[in-house]
Amino acid sequence: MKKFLVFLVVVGGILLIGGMWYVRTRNQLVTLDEQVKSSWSQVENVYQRRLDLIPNLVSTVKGVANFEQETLTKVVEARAQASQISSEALKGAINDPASFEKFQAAQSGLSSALSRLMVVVERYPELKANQNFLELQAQLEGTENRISVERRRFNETAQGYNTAIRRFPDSLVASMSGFAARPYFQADAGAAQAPKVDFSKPAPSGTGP
Amino acid sequence: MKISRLACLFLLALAFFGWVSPAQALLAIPAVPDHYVNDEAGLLSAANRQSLEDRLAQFERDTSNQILVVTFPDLQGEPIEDFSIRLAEKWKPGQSVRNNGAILVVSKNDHKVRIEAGYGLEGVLSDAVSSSILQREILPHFKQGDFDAGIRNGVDAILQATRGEYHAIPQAGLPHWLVVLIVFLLILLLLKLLRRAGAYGLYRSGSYYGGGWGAGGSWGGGSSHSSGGFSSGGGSFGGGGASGSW
Repeated sequence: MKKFLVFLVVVGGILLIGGMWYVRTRNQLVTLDEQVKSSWSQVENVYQRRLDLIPNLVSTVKGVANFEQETLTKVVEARAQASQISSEALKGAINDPASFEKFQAAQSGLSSALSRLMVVVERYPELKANQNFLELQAQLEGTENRISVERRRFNETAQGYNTAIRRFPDSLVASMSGFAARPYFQADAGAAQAPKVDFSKPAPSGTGP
Repeated sequence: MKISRLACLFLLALAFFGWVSPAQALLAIPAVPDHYVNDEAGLLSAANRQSLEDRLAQFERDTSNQILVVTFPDLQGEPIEDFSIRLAEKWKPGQSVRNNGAILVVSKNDHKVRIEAGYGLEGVLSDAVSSSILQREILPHFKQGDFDAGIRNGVDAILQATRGEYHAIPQAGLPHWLVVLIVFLLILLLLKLLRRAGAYGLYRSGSYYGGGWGAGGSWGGGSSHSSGGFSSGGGSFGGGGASGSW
């Protein structure tokens, strides 16, 4: 009888401690997950900022006589592609690696179209003297920098979260409560090298000072 | 048996705590300084450095904005944008509720300069404004090797841009008239107590008026401003600002 009581107390104690540990761990994981979500919304913000900037940029550049149409068209198309992703799909992108991939591909397409545009612009001294354009250029540079800052922060918080849900014994809690791993941003392919622009084509006429 | 158990424990401990971060070849960020102007590269004259320091300290007292100037000889190949955000994340200039900090970062050998604006200053010190400050006020002087003038004009322009965005944080605490009232009431109370004490013989001993008013001068000293240098307010940064090279 006494033995049974001791057994009961021991089992009860283990269950209590286990339950407390479960709750504590789960709360920690929830906190980490919320951090990932908030840094994701920052990422969305800065990408949205870039999308908002482009129409102005395009219309300013368009005003210049004989601006290379192909480059501009590519920027407009890439922007359209990137803004096609609905806001709901964007919110859910961190739960779904496939749509995350899609988001990243669209944005990186836009990045390369934009950086090509910025190289081509060098051939138009008229633009380099245009105050409006210079301001837009500064804003675009600042936005690109914000994007890289927020992407890094997202990766850092996602790494903290992913590490936490994979570490034993917390991984038990994570799998029981359905915490899934979050995707990371990969470095853009070719982000390190400057875009190649063919300068062998004759410069368009009417752009001289 | 015992040894293998120890080994198991050791392995387990490794699994838990053996998180070794990869060695980084990046330039280490110095500890949070206690000056507004940190001229590691030695670009400024002593007089200019001191006058900038005084002005930035005064500027914080007036507006609570924390503007730092920092120069480095070299960033060891790291892009100035990356270095500057790491610096901002560690030094955290700006008040934590307003995020109103900014840093002017100069790297001498890389010929790079950057204005890093905190979240709270992004409105007034926007990317376009930062860029035009660099292009108009700073880079022309840097190109001629005149770092003193470039940094002085740059700081001038940054102060001008950010002035008016915020005002000094009011001293926390009671308004002065309330303090005076409370002290007055306390003195009345004390007098009353003394008078009651007088009924038991203290009154006759002549010490009644002696203590009551003597200490009157001590309550005027209120809030003394620390005249010390920079102390981080905990502001956040998101990569706003602009960079330039000369």
